[in-house]
Amino acid sequence: MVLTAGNILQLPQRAEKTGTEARETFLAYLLPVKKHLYNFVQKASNFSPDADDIFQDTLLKAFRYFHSFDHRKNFKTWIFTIAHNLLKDAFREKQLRHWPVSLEEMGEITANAVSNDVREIYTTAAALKPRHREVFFLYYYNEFTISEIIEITGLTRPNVKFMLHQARKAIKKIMEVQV
Amino acid sequence: MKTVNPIKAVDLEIKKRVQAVEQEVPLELEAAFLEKLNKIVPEKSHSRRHPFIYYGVLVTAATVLLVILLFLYPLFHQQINGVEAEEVWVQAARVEGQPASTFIINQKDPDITIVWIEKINYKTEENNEKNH
Repeated sequence: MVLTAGNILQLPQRAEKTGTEARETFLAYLLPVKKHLYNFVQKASNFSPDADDIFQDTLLKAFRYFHSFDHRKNFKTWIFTIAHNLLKDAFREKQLRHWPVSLEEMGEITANAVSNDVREIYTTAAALKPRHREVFFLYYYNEFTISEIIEITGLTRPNVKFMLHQARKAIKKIMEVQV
Repeated sequence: MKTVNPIKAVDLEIKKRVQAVEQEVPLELEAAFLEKLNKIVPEKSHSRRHPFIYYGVLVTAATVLLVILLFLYPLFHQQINGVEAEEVWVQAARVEGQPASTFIINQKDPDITIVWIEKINYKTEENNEKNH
């Protein structure tokens, strides 16, 4: 059976398979979230050159422990939790370097967005503490709810709200200056 | 007229700008990942016990242990106290056709048990005589 995002709902409640079948199941789950996960890791790590490694490690670790994933739960939240833990380790061990944000390297910009506005946002986000930046992108880029962010990061609700408030305040200031 | 919550308005604007930057997963990275994925053998799932079964096993084990302890306790108890503590029961005694009180005198020798038998009204009668 070729698994696609379309027939993902027909998957068994718990993946007990090994080998090719397990790989196909995992890739079917991964397909809808892969791009968002990649961009999140890039953004949360300040577009560090280590981001690709963190992304790859996240996927490999997720596959290795795929058997422990409860299929009644949200796969996206589960894999983002793994990414969060690896990012945390990377920040702790390597102290990821801060790289200047290059929008040209980051990818395409939609027609509606003004380049300078976007650049300002990313510059502000880059100045945030790693954990604050993660919460910022989880909320504004990946559009996770506060409850989901709590599940991913293990932070408390007041902490998440405080981090978002701080980021919002900083960005609002920039936006007011621009107006 | 419907008013827009200022926080929501700011959030929407931030989301729009943040989401404006997005890139595809590089093909070489994806190829490298798939190559590694094919080499990995996923860990076998450990049989996850249902909480009810898990606690049931625990409770059963605890019960069995308790029963064993209850059986073993009297054996240990007897060994600790030794033969000296063996109880002697004297159901009843009569002296000259009258009921008598019995007292067991402690003896260190386990083979001998001394029982003191005393007429119930013996002392009282003696006292009465003295009083007369």
